[in-house]
Amino acid sequence: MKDIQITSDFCVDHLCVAFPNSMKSANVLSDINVVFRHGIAAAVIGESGCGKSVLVLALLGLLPKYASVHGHIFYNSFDVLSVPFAIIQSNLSKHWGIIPQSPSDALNPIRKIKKQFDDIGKNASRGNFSVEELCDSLTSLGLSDIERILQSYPHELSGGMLQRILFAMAVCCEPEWVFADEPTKGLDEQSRQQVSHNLLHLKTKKTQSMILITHDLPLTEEICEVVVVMYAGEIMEITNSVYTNGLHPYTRALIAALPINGFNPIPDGPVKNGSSRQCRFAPHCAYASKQCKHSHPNLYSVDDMHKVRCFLYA
Amino acid sequence: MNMKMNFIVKRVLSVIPVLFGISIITFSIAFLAPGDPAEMTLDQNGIYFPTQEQIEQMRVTMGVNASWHSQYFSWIKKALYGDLGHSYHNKNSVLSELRMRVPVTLQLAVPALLLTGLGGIILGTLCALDPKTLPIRILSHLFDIFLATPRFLLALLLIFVMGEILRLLPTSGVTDYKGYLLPTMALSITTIAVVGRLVKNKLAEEIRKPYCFIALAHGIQHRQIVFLYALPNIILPIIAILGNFFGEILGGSIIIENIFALPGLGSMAIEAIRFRDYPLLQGYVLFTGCTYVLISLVLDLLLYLLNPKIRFEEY
Repeated sequence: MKDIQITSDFCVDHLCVAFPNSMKSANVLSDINVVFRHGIAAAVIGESGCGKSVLVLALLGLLPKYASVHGHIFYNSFDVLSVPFAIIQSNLSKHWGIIPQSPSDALNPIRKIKKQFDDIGKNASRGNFSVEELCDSLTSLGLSDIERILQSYPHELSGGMLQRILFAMAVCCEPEWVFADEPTKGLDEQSRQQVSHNLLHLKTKKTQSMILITHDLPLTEEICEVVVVMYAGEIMEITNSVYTNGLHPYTRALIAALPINGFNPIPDGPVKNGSSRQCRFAPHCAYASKQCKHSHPNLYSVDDMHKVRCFLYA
Repeated sequence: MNMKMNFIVKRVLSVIPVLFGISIITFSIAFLAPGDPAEMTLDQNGIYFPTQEQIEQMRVTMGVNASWHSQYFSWIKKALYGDLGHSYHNKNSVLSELRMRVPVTLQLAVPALLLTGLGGIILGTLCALDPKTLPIRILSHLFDIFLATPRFLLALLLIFVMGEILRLLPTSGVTDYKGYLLPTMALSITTIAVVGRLVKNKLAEEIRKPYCFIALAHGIQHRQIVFLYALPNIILPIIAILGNFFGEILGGSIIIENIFALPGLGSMAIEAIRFRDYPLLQGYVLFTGCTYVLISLVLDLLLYLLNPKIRFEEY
């Protein structure tokens, strides 16, 4: 962690997040250590509830106030977790573009699209957008009749159009980082390809640094240089490709569960966040040994860019 | 465009059966009420005892011995020409009586509406802007207290403090604008609390919705999100509440007008009931019924035109 010099990296250092419950607190993330390097597209994958979204919320400084948070996230000389949100908003938000999960409720229902673009522009101290600028970026995303779209309310547009608009909003201020929360969720194959195409286009043209939260393994292969595999609030593996270079039994189980590989399910059973006496994947793991049930593995380095939390690679 | 006109015409036409219903009810109140109006007219104070012949004769002159439907039709015919009959107890025409009373009630209701609307929305929004500070917390508790305070109690407290102790404002009569200040306050403070608390809660709920959260992540300031994003989205139900409040006090707030001795519609209603003055009572019921229908009509059209989700047929 000490050798991080480039300040536009996201450097997550011993991050723990728990949400206090009426009975006891729910550990969502435990001891996350990872560096998202500027200029590199990273994907965060893992099953629902493994903490992917919370990790990204933490990166953006958007965790709810009642969350109990330990650790640090360094970005530009700021510790995102400890500076007031107003400072994040005035200094950092313009560096970050967010593509939210469900387009239909991510826009103000009674404000015209153009005005919502301008709201973002003004806060990035960029001022109003000219129609031509927006035309360019929306046309490149495959939309037509831009003038009408800009004067429309969100409910007058289709889900696919809204998604592209949100995409354009995320990148309209030329951010250094783009965060996409399940950008291909619930889309048919054709729209999925369009999204993947747009992300690739964005990556080659403007913003190289991305963090994608997704369940879409092929998408990670198409776009990302780094894949972070999460399970039960922990990072299980950091690799460059889950297909060709996935080592952790969980990663391999995910690949085996894909339809093209025969839909092999991961053995069922409770997933427990927060227990530290055993490997969290051990109850479901085909390779689990006695050691896995009695001690907790660290994140072992296989090579420079590749880390695995498994005793098999210790 | 077509759908819009369609809606407006339908909504306006839907008023007709309601008005008809109001006229029937208005008429039957007087028709079914106990007591003989002819006798009541002759004997207002209980001092003079009319003879049976006198009563019979009075019944014929007043037309109260005819069948109910012929009475209804002659009544509605006259009413359409603005003739609502004459008050039994002071012989004024009901219309002139209404003309005297309505301005008083209007001068009470309009400022009370403005005060409620502005006060409620501004205070509620303040609460949403900065919910954690001490003054805002105190304000929230004040909302709860005033919400639970009956208007008559508030009126008496205001009279006691402003009129008796501080001697700032007159406590009865309407010689000049000062006479309206206390009643307006008594009318609007409770509803300011109702509207303020509603605005506060609705804003808090709205700010948690995804689009506000995303806007926050896009770097849009909290203040802007409250004013440009959350507030316009919750304003329609608030307008609906204000409209209902206006309709309610346009009928004259009986208690407030009595406490402050205002010659408005509310005190007219009390008078009419006390003297069993049916024409006056009918005039009151007809007037308040119609204004209520009219206000809800205007309100519906306003909400319809303000909501872009309905407006989109224009394109």
